[in-house]
Amino acid sequence: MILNNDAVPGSSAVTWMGLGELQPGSSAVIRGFDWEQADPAFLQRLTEIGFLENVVVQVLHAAPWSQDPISVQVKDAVYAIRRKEANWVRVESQGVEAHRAEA
Amino acid sequence: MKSPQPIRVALVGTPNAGKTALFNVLTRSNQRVANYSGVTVDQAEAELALPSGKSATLVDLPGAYSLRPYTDDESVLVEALRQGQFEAMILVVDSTQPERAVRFLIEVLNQFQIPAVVAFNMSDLAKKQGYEFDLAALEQSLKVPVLATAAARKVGLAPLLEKLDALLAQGGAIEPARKKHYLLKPSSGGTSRQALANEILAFYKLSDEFLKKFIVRKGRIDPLTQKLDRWVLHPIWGSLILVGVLALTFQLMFNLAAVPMDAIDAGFSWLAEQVQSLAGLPEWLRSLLVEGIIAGVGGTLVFLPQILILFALILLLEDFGFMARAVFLLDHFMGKVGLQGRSFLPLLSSYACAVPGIMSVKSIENTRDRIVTTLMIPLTTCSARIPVYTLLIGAFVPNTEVGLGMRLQGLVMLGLYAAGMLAALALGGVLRLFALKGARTPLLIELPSYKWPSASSVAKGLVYRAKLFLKRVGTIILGMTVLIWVMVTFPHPGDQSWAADLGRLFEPLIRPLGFDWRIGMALIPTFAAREVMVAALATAYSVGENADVSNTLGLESLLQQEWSVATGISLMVFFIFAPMCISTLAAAKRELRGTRWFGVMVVVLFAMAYLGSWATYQVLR
Repeated sequence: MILNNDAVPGSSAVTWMGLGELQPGSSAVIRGFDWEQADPAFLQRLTEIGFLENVVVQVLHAAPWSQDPISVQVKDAVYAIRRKEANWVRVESQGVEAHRAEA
Repeated sequence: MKSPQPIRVALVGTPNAGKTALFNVLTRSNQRVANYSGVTVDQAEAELALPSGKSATLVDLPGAYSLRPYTDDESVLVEALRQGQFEAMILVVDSTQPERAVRFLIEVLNQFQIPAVVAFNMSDLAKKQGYEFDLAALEQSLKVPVLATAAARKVGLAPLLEKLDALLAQGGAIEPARKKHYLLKPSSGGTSRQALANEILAFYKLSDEFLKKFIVRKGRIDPLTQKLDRWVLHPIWGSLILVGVLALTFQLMFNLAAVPMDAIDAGFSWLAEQVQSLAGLPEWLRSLLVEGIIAGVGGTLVFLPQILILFALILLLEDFGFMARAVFLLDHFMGKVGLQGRSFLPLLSSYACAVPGIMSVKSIENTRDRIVTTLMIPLTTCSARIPVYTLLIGAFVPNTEVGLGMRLQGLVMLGLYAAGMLAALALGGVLRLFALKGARTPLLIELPSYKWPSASSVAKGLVYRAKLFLKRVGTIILGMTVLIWVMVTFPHPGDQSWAADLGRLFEPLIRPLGFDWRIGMALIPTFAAREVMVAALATAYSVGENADVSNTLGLESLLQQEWSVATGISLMVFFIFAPMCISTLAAAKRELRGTRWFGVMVVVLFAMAYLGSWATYQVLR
């Protein structure tokens, strides 16, 4: 497992998206965090409960009416989180299978 | 013989690890009844009998995800471990989430040099989900005893207690090898969040190696939970299920409670008759017993069934895992008034009683949201208002059919509930808009696997609630009832009593609301408990008039003769808003810490009560 926290800006960043942009049923791999925009205490808590780079996450459900918050499975747990804050977690929808196999 | 310093054992773990279930099966039902207006309510404590014959105090601490507190609950845990002087701790692990739980375990073992034993709890569920652990390997690495338990099935409890006993026999010595496990340093204040996050990342990488050693086979998330969530969290079905559950809760609270309530009512009527017919009883003692104590205590005790039913349902839904889903479903709705889903549970609990509601506000991580929720809580229709509403509706609202099988009295009751809820939401919205501004707090709540609630756990919770209530009836309410009786009886019963003097003193202030001195007098003791209003009115109007008010019907017809309809409705409105409950005020003061918001709460709620009541009376009279 590689901890590419200082990932190359530019090229790969384009393909990354916010976790909050995913629709229910879709999975992605965590690539980094938007520390500039984020409430750092909240983002720190997310890392503590397992939102880490190279970890596969899956959006399971979206709440009624506004499609917000969403429920996200990470490792063995499911958490409810709003899309706005979920977007502080940057994900890539490529390579999910490879990371699953590794885990 | 008891030693002056009992052995203290802490119960520590992540949320939903089954700590409280373990607490309930390890200790007998003698959980210390916390004081309603009291001080220490954060930690439940109970006596723990050890196999060696020794006895210890087991302390159930709040759950936490890490030792860097994000919520108040977590701060309570860290502070307690720091200062609690615990001889030992039982670390409770949710076996269905081994990675997260073991990381927390390592953190606690590193930071607190307290002898520990690890309970790999819910081991039966983990096995069902396909997990396989090498607990011997974990024990080897951690240098602390590790045991598989399943608290809900009472599995593995005896070995756990034996290990704990052995630890305590060693007198606090820690395995020297344990100190080597410094995977993550305790957070050093100066580091930035990002640096800290990097430390966490490094810690995770290291602990991954560690985890690989003992997780032999990984399991899957409980398939039943996934299936159920497809319905419960469904955009349409989910909303319908939520509304259905809430409707059913209130339906059960009123309908199921009717039978035992009638029985209690009848029991006290019978008791009053018996006392009335006792020969040779001095007149003052007969009056004290019938018009004072039986009317007051009986009128309050009648609510026990309702309180127990609401709490039973809340405990069941919480244990089952539904409450977290309700937070998920309601978050958007609560956002309309700038709040978050987490405010829902304290508000719902408050429909039984505001005091446990305010106590559970602590689980909200944001200070501003805690203040707003605390200020809203006294407006929810707690069960102590039910007797007052029931009495006033019975006396002043005709029970005519209004179509669709509904009757006006029931509709008015529903309206009073709705008025309280709307007032709470309006107050919350106004506070968020003008006083406690700012963006909404981020939401983060775990949606745990569904679990069958444990009957014994729910039963213990209910016994605890019942004890609290009965204690209150036996102390505050009994005392107040006797005091009121004395006030309305001396020096001369009725018009020339001390209570009458006091009521007349307040009369100019409450006259615009349509209240006379008797109502003013009856309102004073309601600060002890709102339901005392019924007893106070019963006592105020019965003493010296010899009317039979040992049951509700007698009092209703008496009030119809004495008051105008405008007065009755005005008093109902007053009860929607007024924060007349010393226990609630004490709990709120404690929660709001600084006195500023507490002062705001008292002033705003009384102003709402006064103005609402005044407007109602002026329009209707």
